[in-house]
Amino acid sequence: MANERRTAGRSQSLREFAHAVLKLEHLALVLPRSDVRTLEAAADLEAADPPPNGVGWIEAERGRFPVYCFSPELEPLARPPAGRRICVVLDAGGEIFGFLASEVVLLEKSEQPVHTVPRAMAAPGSPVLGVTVYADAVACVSSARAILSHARLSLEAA
Amino acid sequence: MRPMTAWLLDLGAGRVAAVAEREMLHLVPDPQCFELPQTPVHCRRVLRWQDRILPVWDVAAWLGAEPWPAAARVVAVVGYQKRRREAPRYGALLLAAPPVRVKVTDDDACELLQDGAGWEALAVSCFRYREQPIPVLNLRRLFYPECN
Repeated sequence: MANERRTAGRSQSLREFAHAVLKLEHLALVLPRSDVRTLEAAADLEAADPPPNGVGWIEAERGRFPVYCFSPELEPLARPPAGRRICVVLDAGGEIFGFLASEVVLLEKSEQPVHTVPRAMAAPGSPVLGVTVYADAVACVSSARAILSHARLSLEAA
Repeated sequence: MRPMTAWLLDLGAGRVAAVAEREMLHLVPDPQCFELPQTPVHCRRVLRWQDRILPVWDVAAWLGAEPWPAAARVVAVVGYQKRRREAPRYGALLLAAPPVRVKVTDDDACELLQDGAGWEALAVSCFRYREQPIPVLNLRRLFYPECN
């Protein structure tokens, strides 16, 4: 939670942490790189008997973890769209899970500021904790914890 | 009575509103806006402007029109204060056409437009222009929904 507060807080910048950019088609999600444990091939996903709101399971680091897949609108999907070839294994404060992305870019710290989500746009439970600029476009700042929490919240709402 | 100047805003879908002259800061034709997920349908996009990321309000969508019509070609950057003496804050409004300056006096004040669309949640006052009631947007309330 402390990490989320830091990310969502006033006038931050990406210089606080190296980060990873997870592309979900046109959407770029920026996470602290420390949230990323490993990168696996989505082809290794076991789709049988998926977890609630998930798309399957992945074996990594001598464990078997649930895998989630969100649309670019950040809604959980039951089936991954074509092109989600990377399973990013994320660590949400000790809870490990996989998250499917079409592309992953690992970046060093930068001076790019992180802005808070404008008040008129903020939605409770949204995994978008802030906004920043990446590759000359606006990207969403999130965290492994926020993504996992959103997957579970969406399940409760369903 | 000295007339004041307001900007008449064509919000699209036949909706018209106004803001005070000093609240209009910049017009951006053919803006490049970015959609953010998990945001309300009337405020789904942001605009990069002077090292800031501004929310873009689609007032017509809030009033029930189809969001972000293809005809929308102008975004107006507006300024407002959350409290008196505070530094200005910024937001943006989606327009169907460039705004028009009009002169208004106190005699033009009228009852708020009652068309069932919900203007009372968005407007701070209303004036009559060419026989049409024009709601004046409460920008503070638009961009800080918890403000009255």
